[in-house]
Amino acid sequence: MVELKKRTIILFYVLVGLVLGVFLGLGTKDGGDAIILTNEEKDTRDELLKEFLDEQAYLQSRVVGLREQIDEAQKELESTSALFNLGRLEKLKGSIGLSEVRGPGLEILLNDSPFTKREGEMIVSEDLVQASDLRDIINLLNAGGAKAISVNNQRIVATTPISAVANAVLVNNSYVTPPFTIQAVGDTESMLRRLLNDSILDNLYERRKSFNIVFEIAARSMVTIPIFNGNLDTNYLNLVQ
Amino acid sequence: MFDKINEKQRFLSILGAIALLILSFVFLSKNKISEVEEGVLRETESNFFQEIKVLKEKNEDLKVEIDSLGQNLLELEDRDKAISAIESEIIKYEKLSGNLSVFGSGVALELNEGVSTPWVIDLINQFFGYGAEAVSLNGIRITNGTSGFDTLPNGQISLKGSVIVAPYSFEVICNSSKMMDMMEMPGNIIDRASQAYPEAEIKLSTREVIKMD
Repeated sequence: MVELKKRTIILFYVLVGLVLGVFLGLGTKDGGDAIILTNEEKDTRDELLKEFLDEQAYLQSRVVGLREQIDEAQKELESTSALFNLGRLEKLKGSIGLSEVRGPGLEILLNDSPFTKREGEMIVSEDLVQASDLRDIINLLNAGGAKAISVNNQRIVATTPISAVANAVLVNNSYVTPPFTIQAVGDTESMLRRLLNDSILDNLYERRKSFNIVFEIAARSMVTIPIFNGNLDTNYLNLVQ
Repeated sequence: MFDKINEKQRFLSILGAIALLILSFVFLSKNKISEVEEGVLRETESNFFQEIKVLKEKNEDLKVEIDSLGQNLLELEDRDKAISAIESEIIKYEKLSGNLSVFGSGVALELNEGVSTPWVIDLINQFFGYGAEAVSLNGIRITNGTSGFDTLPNGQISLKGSVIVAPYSFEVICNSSKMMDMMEMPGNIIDRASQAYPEAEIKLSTREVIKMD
């Protein structure tokens, strides 16, 4: 009888150890300490963010406006003198994303699960669209021969970074929020073949099935991709003579 | 009931419970690393103030771009300066296009082990996010014409028909001191890649001259 009691006690301690270990282990899987902000702090944060975003929208529209004016001025010069042959310049603009592109292509809609909300500091949640989802899709579109890509009308070029910020995503360091519309002009079949391969985008397809992430692909006979509206820096780049 | 248990046995069972606690904790923590490897946690927890800094810098860069475009427009309006303005623009775009060889200072990241395609995408994305002006992987420059990785059935990475095999060598033309500071911040992509690939050796260093063809 005493032996049985001893065993029961030992078993009790073992179970307590196991349960505590499991809880502690699972507790660290949430990605660290979440920052809890008061309403006032949230308002201040949002105001600060809005100031930067308003300024950014204005600056980007100025960049696009100036590039259009430069384009017009160059065309005018070309029309008035044979000295100005702008063919090479136009070709270069096309290759770095400074020309609008139109043509047949794809339109992809990505959105968070309708049963969730993007709130708080943490956006690493399986029912939300992640910056990495956008990066993976854009990578596949490029691999499939896309001539031009945009995300919510932000032109994607090779140097475009896509990263997470608070409860949104930065594309070209510009704020974009869901729903995300990705448009691509190019070889529709080649792009579709990659996007429809659920072993490549396994994580996204799994989250669509289990967490109701919206991921829809449609072929379009005409898609328009705007020009790049960001800065193009060459401060450290030199041509080899 | 407790009075009847001898002290030694009680001590041993507590010790056993602690050992189990540690073991189960270690097991679950390891499980967490394998999730990272699978790409579930490719995103870092957002640091709002760091991102505000990025936005601020982006706006400053846009202002510089506006000044430069404004200057370009003024020169185009003056026929004597128009030709040189167009030539300068052509040279700038040639540097970006990848048509011609370029060189500059920057950083290099060496990775002795093969990693999956998403990690390669994320590393390149991070370099551009921190101001890289040109990036190459194993000698292939990433441009609008070359970006887009395919994963081959054996897990190897292909870039526009070229198979990329380990060791991976990323070269980045950029402001090297800024890039080093950003890439070495705790919790950054190098930390996460090290977690996902604990066997991999990742070396980041500055380079005075990097040439990309």
